[in-house]
Amino acid sequence: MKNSTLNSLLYLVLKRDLVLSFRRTSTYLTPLAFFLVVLTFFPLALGTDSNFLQRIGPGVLWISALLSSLLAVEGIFNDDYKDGTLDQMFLSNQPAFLLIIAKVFSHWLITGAPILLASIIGVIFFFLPSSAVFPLLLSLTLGTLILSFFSAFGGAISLGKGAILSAIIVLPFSVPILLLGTSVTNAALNGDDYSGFLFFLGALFVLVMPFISLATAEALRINND
Amino acid sequence: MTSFSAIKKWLISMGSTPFLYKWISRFLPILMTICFIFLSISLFWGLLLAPTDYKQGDVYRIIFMHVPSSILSQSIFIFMSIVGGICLIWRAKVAGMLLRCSAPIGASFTFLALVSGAIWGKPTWGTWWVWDARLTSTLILFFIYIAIIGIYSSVDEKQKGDRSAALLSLVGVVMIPIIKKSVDWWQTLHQPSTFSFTKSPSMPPDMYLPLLACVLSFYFLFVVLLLLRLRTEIALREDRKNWFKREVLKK
Amino acid sequence: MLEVKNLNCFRSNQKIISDLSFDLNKGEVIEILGKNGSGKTTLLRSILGLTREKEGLVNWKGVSIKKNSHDFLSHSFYQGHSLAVKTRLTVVENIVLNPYSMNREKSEIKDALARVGLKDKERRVLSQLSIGQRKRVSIARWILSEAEIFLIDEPFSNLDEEGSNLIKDLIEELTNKGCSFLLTGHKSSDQNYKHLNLD
Repeated sequence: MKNSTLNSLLYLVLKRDLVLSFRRTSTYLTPLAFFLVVLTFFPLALGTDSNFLQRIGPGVLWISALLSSLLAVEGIFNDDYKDGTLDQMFLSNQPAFLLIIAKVFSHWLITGAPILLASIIGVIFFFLPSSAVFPLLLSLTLGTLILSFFSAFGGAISLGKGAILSAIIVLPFSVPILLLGTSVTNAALNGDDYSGFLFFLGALFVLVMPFISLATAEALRINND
Repeated sequence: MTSFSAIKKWLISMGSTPFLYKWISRFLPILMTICFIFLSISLFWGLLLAPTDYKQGDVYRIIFMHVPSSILSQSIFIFMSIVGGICLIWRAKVAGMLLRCSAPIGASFTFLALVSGAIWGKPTWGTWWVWDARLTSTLILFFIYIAIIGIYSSVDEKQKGDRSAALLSLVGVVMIPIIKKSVDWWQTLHQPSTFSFTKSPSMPPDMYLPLLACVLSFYFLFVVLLLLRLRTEIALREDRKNWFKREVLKK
Repeated sequence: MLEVKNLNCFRSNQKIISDLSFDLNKGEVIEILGKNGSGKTTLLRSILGLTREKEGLVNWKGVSIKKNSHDFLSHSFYQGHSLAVKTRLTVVENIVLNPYSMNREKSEIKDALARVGLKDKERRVLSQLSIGQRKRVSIARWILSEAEIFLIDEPFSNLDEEGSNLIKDLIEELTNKGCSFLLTGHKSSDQNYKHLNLD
């Protein structure tokens, strides 16, 4: 491919994925709707006492975010694999893992970022105090970003094999994110200092992103063979 | 010097599946016998002959199964990641087969560790399960084993499945310390100071010697099971090859 | 330009291509023929490095591709069975948002689309076009890619006579400019091409 600099390719991947996602409404609407639906079912199943809901609120928000990002796992690489676009990613002369980072980021913009907005509704549903909003949003931002990278890996390694297998792969690795993320909000609710947890979450993101992207690139190479 | 080069030669020849198959077939019966004897002696020693614990009574004897299983479950995971790395980097066929064969064994040991832990917990502390750091991380390790087994069984092409499983076990071995640390630390937040399944007070020799024997015999058991599965795996993959038809089917 | 020496390709432990050697010179067209499953696609993907199970030597302009993959990939064009076209995007978007044909002038794109017979269909979404027309979108990329070597898997499938003639003319045009083509197919599509049988 002639004249393709890294920046122009990254921009291309980002733009193409965003345009594709917006052409089909279900791509960005479904994870969001699923998030809200799961959120609703917890009070329905467990009772609506406001003290109880306040205690389980952060955990429920995190579980719903986790489940809806698992739902979106399949779409990341499957289409590209089926129509041959994945080949072009490997033929492009630029390191595949950088293109994957661009792809995961665009995936997050479509599936993860809307959840951040929807979590405000979660704050209302679970009677969380307004002091919890900021730490919740911060931790969810970092958490959904890391989850997107793990979901990409899960989708890559089980390319074309179904969402449930991808979910089984992603779930064990998402445990640290879940634990750290809920700790942030719980600490905020108790009035404790939550910055340490955020710091760890950020450190996890910085460490995970390159390593997992390399692993995702390798998984795609194996499955695209 | 010559023994070193002999070992090297043996290792290289182990990479060839006909040689490996024949070697396993030859030595497996005797290895299985030794393993059976060793395992019986160690378990008999621990379960019957070792002295009774003054605090927990005879119930503690379950550690002779629990501790070896949990040590094995982690060792096998590390073994899988090493062998997986060899499979990915050097494209060694046998390394891939070793990975595929050890995964279910590792998962079984993990399951055994979880169940024996639960059995230990009930009479000792009154509950079948406790969310302590060790048990919870063992549970997550079990899920990762299941994920690895799920991956290679979902891919029809064997070598591709091996490679995907190898990659997953490499990622897993990097994530496991992170998971352990985070579970460890989460548990200290939620449960102030509780009993720990891992607390092994200084044991008198007539307790830790049978424990050591059990651990070693479980390692031996793993090797025997692995060789058994490896031979079957070779047969599954190469049943159409000439050497197989000649040596195995005609025999 | 492209030299293949003693190439062996494997797929799930089976040797699909054994000891293949050929040279592709500047301005030449080689058509690889074979039945289904004879390894035509594997051969192309092997040369490009998409399939890694192989032995043997592949040289681009005298240097092994392993050492010189950057140069080879910058000057090559690959069209596989699945054409790497996105059905939810329009014709123009499929050109602009593709690494082979990105960053081209609007006039060049217009000309290329006119050449392949998609002149008034620029803003049509690909799901509304037939398979033959979608293939023409991919062919438009050939023109815009400025590549020196084209590896095309089954270029003539799904095309009517008009489409096949279009490709033949285009190949002739590009080879006169010095490009080389490595094609695959079931049967010979032109007497003037060099043929290589994989059976």
